[in-house]
Amino acid sequence: MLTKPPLPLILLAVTVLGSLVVYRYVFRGPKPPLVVYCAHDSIYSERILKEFETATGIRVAPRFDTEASKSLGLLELLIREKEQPRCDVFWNNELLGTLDLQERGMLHAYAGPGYSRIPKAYKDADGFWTGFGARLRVYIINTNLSEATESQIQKHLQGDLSRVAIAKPLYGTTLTHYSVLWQALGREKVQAWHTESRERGLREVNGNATVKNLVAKGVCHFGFTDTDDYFVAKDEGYPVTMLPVRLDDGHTIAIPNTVAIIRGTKRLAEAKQLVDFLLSETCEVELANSRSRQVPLGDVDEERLSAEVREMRPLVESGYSLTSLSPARAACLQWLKTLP
Amino acid sequence: MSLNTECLLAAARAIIISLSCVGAAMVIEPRLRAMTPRVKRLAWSMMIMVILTPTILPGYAYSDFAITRLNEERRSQFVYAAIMILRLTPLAVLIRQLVCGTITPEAMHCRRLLAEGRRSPGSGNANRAAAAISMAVVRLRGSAGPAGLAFVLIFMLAFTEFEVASFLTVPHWTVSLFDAQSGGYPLVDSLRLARLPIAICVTVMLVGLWSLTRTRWNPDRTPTGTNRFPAWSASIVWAYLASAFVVVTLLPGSVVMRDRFPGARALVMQFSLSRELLASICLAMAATVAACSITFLACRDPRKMLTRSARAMITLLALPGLVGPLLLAMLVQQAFQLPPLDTAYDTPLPMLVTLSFYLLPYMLLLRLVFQRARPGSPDHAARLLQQRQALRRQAGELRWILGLRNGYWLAAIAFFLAYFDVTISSLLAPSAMTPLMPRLYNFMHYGQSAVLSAMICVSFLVPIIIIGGALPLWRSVAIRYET
Repeated sequence: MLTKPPLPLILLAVTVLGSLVVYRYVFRGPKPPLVVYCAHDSIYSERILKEFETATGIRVAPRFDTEASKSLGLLELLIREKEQPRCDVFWNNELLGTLDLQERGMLHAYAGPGYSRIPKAYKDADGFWTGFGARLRVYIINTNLSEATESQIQKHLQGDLSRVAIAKPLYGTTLTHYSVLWQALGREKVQAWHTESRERGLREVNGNATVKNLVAKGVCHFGFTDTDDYFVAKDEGYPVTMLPVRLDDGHTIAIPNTVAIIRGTKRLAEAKQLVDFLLSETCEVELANSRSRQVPLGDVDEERLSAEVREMRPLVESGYSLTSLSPARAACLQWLKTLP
Repeated sequence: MSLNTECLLAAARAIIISLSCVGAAMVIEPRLRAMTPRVKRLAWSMMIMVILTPTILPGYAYSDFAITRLNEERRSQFVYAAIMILRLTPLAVLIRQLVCGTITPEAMHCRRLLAEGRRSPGSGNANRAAAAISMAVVRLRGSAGPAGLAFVLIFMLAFTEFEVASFLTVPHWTVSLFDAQSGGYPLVDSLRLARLPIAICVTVMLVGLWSLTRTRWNPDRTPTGTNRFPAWSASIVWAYLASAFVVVTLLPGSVVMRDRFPGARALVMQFSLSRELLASICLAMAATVAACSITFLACRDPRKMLTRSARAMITLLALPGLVGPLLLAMLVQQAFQLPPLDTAYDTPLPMLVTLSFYLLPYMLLLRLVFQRARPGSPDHAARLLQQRQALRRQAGELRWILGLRNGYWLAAIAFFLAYFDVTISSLLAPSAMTPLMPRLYNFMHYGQSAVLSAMICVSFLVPIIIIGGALPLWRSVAIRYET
């Protein structure tokens, strides 16, 4: 006599099969969505991706990173998935990681209408990636605790740093900052500064948002962060101001978002549409008028921009060139990974 | 601080937390057992709520406090340890309640009589001291099993904890390893970094296995209501319960609830996380069914559960989950990137497998203790009554009260844990099926806001509604299936 299989076993089999079916027909759908790996803060980028969905009818499945690890986490994921990529478009919140992917031959060149409106300094000559919506590296300063002048900042930086914060340099714009210093000042100076600043108490925290929180709440006098994080604190009414980080030659550090199509995508036409959408004047103006105040790189009607963004445009134009930074980034990252 | 240093610090902290919880449980559990049924139910309800409060809730609520107190790292460490002690003590109480040592109270009494009988009249203090030490050693051997089991479980939970440490910016190896892995280290390198934590986990688990051999699954219960403690000692229990409930559940809950109305309208206008919510529900349900199915398959026959082979199988099933969600997710991620599993990488399977293994230690332990606590004879009598058509409904309800409802609670706890998982979801969620908790966790790192609090409020109500709504269906299926 056949005995019926135990109910738990049936349930287990049904669950496994059911989860695959539900995923295939409910979440993924008959037409797979456009998979976007997005390192830009989800509180800003999600709205733009939804607008793209509404405008084109193309469903987008974004994958965001954690605040703590940002673009480098998605970057490593893309590299691991190189043989079987599931990402179609990579929206990075900085440039160097995208350059890394280009060197590995993982990008698909595309130079569409959006590409043509961005200046040469912010795009790859062959169209493998294009920059848009830039941020600046800045000192965020609590005005109740410290004078917001360049001389005062430099004076603080020579002394006790226990009330100064910086994000972990392994990721995101802080890594770009380090890479710029590596190229501009040289390996030994950067390594020496890193070591002795920690000895003087420099606080290393999880991300730029944490730096912003520490300064805004008065735990730290000032910190290294980006303009978008600064503006969040300002909008929330905290007593903060900002000063751009400048190199010895006067250059600022302006870090654009970058967008690139992943080689091997099965949705090339839709990916191109998204790239053009992100590089459009409309999108750049929207990023400029969002809380992040990202500075447009292409031509835009300045009347549509806020005074704050208009003030930052010259600072972005005097930004240090990042396009040849790949070797410095690789060397700097390799060194940072050896640190305890 | 290096990863190894953070690991050793975490181990030392986990030892302190475990010892504190086990010590507190030794004081609380006997007094709890001596309470009247109604009072005991209230106390247990509070403790269950403390256990089931998702870890991200106190983390989110106290993150601002952590930021403003960051200047004093010791204070952050102290606050973190205090939250973990308050949160995990109920687990130690539960284990003491449901398991006991291999030396029964009757055997202890006989041993005491024997020792007194051997002492000759007029023997000196030295002999009395030696007898006292001998009795203490025997008592220790007798209680080593349950205490060891509680210590191991709480140590593993405290040692592998991630979310609260991240919010309170307390140095913790799990936070550094997560950042390293998702922040750019190849997976193999990250696992290499984790050699010391893995070694510590394995060592502690061996202690746990030894403890299992020193336990019995038939606890000796003091008759309810028999109170041999002075009246004032109940205040110890209530002092703990009040502190834990307020610190772990009430205060964090109030932070979320405070902003629910101002945030709710903005939530509707600004964000739509319905898809993520649906993904969380589907994945949690699938993991619950999978984990509970494996648990019921492994622990079908209570009569066979005491054999060594049964215990070995249960231990093997529980081992993967005991390394903690972070290491487990990393291992599964690596496995699903190798052929032929790589074809299933961007599906729910990796996450389902990991969540199931993560839940298994809890499910297996609870299933075993529920089975042991089930009154055998009355249940058998009720089962016989169910054969009679006229009495089937009443017998089914009686069996539900006697033990069938334990399965429901098992599934409810599994669903809760799976739904509120952050670590596994962050690493393994498929691309078109992002669960809610990683998104909320990410938003939380930007700081508190009314919209976010409203999101959290909604996300916490959903599993409660689902669990409550599933009760009638579960009840009818359980009664019918057990016929």
